Amino acid sequence: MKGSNFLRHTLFAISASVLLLGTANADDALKMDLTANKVIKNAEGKTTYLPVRNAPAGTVIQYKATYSNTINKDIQDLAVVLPIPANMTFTGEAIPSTAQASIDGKNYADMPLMRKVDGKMVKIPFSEYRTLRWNIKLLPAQKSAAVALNTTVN
Amino acid sequence: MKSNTFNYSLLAVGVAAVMGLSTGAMASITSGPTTNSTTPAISNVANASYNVAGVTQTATSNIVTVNVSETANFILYATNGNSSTDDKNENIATTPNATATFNHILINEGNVSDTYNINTTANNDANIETATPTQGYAHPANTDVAFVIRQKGGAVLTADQADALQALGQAQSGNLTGGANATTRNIKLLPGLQAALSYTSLTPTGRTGGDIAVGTLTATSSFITTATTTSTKVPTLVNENQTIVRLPTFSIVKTGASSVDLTATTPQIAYTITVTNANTDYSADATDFVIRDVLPAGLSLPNNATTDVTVSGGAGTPRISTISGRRAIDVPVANLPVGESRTITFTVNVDKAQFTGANSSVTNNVAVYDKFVGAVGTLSDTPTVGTDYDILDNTLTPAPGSETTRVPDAADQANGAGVDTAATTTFTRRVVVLSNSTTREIAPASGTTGQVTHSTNITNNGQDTEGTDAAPLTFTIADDTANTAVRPVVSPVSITYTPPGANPVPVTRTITPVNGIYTINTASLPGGIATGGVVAINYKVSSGNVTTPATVADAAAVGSTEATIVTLTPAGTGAPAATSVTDRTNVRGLTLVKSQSLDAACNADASAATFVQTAIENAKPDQCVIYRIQATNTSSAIQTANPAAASGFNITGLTISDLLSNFSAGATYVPNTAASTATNNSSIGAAAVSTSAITATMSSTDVLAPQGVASLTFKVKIKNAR
Repeated sequence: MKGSNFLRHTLFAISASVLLLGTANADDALKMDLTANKVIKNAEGKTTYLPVRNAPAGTVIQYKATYSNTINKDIQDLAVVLPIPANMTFTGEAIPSTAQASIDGKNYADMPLMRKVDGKMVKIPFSEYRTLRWNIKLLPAQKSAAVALNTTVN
Repeated sequence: MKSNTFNYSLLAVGVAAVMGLSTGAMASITSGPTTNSTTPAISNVANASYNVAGVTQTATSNIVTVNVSETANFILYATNGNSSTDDKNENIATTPNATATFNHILINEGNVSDTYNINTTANNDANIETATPTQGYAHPANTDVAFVIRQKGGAVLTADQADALQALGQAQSGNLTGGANATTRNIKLLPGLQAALSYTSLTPTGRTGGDIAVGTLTATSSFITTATTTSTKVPTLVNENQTIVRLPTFSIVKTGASSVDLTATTPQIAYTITVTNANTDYSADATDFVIRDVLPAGLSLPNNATTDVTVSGGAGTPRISTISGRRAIDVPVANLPVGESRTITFTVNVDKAQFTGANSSVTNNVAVYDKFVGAVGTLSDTPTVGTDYDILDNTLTPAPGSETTRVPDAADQANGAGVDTAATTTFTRRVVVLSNSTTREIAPASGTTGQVTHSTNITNNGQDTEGTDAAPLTFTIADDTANTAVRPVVSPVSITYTPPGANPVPVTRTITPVNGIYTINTASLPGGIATGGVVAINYKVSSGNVTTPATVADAAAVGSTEATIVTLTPAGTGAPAATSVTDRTNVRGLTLVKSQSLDAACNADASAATFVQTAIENAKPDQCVIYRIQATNTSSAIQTANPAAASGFNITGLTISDLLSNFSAGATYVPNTAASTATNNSSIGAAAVSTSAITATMSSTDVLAPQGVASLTFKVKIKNAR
């Protein structure tokens, strides 16, 4: 709760500054912060996230993109695209899970991605997933939200 | 980087400890961690598009970077042999034409997926000690290696692992094929996965016990091979595989009587067969083999039944058959562990008619038939190698070409663990006959020249040579002591050997007694007495206490007799009992009888007179008395036809004399009445009268033949005035 209050105060401060400026360009209406955290599960199954700069292969890394509407107008049809870097493999865990995935960065479909092999539809391995995309119809003015995906370092 | 290396070393030690491995062995089964000196970085950036008041906008996030530390580390160990987690599969038993399988585990202990190139070689790795391989014998290089991928520890893959493996294009199981270092021999493993690797080596059919082969299986990490690091890296791990051909070494020892006397009513030989699975460096338990004894011709089982054969130590029921007219005994043995023995005993009858030659013998051999795999079934008369058996070991000397012991030659030779021994029995049929009991006649005092010679015969009626060192004959010549004046001459005797066959050339030799015992052996009669040969023992008997008796007391009494016992004692194997013959020596000589006849008218002829040895009563003066002195040779007629019969002798140098003083006091010789006669081819000189005696003397040519009588007669007239 304490962390949550801190975030709330911060967002409030940002919103306040936007209102004060009032000159924000539409191009800057959306601010995105990307973080990488190491996902650690303890023995009780509780998950914690620690900022990471160095990771051995096999480490599960969560990329989290926090996007904020910095203007006093709503943002519509927001599409947030989060790549899965080379040398990393998507674990299948996306937050929110409504994300669509693509293996070429162009064509997206709901997960799990499927393709036809020998006349049968089979799942495409997560290792082939290259990007995820979240489609958000409306981000109200001065509001923030976040999307995330987990990957494993190859 | 250095710090990372250190940490991974600790990690590897930890892994080894968890697996129960010693850190000493770790160097050979684990690569240790290897990390690239340059760390790859993964950067990411998010972007977005959106509409504000109908105008499309875009946004880009900040860039985040993760520096990835990739570590390769893998383990390769062998699961067979003395340890299931070391770097070698050693001492793997195999047999010719059998397949040995080598199992290994490859584990990706790193944090990156890695590709391993798996090869097999025929190498003997200098750093892995197993055993010195046999020249020209190695396990195959570049052979197929089967693999099965699992989680480390052997659990099946999770679905995610399976998917990830599939994404790498790696099957979960299959065969690695192709030439050395070919990419078709690659296998990819995710971190934490293991591959069970196995391959086989076919042992050539021609290999023998103790042959050793080695080879290696290697795994080379692609990551470590290309890793850029200044630290020592181990891209390739090696496991060594060593096999040894293990086969039983049979020691077959057959014993039987060394000699059998064929004079027995039913001669037999008791045999014992002992088959031992000798302990060698390459020994193996023997199973389901057959011991076969084909009896030589002339030997048979008393009942021709299995009850004739006794087996011990777990051998099976014997089978009795006939092979080319010879009785065969097959004994199956289900199991003969290393160091243990099985014993078979049986007794055979000997057909005497088939062993009649000199020095006859029979050698009974035995064989063992075994297979590398499976049981030796009921053997045919002529079993086929490769079909009925793989191993044939027997006691034949020299080993026949058909023998195939499948162990080193030295093992089946003298002082070898598997030396075999046949049973050889020598037959004897010794029949020695002592014969020709002789009777001889001897003068009362034989001196040296008058000694008589007895001849006793030894005849070899057996089938073996007698009178050899192996079959010596001894004999004694014993005086029965009844007549102390007649005795055999204790001195060297001559023997005369007459070989068998037509126109034999007799051989005479002299034998000197030792403590009264004469020995006929190789020294005294080289070559001995062949079958049918005869040895005559020629010994002398003397009479008289001294060579030249001075008095009558020194001489043997005429008419007395003495026996001499010749005893023959054969020695050596199969010697018959001692036998004796008794020779007899009769004392013969001269008897002198004086008789008288009254000639009242003094006109009778001596030849017509009737002589008495009793006193003449009532003789008157002027009557005459005719005296007759008869010297008789009491010996028997000289024999020539029958050497064994008594044979007399001639008497020479005889003088018959009567002193005139014997009667001159009461009578006077009547002149011209002295006369001499001789009978039976005898002769004596004419009677002669001297002033002192009347005599008849033999000349040098006269003899008194056996049973001959020389007589001297003369007439005296009784005085009438004394």
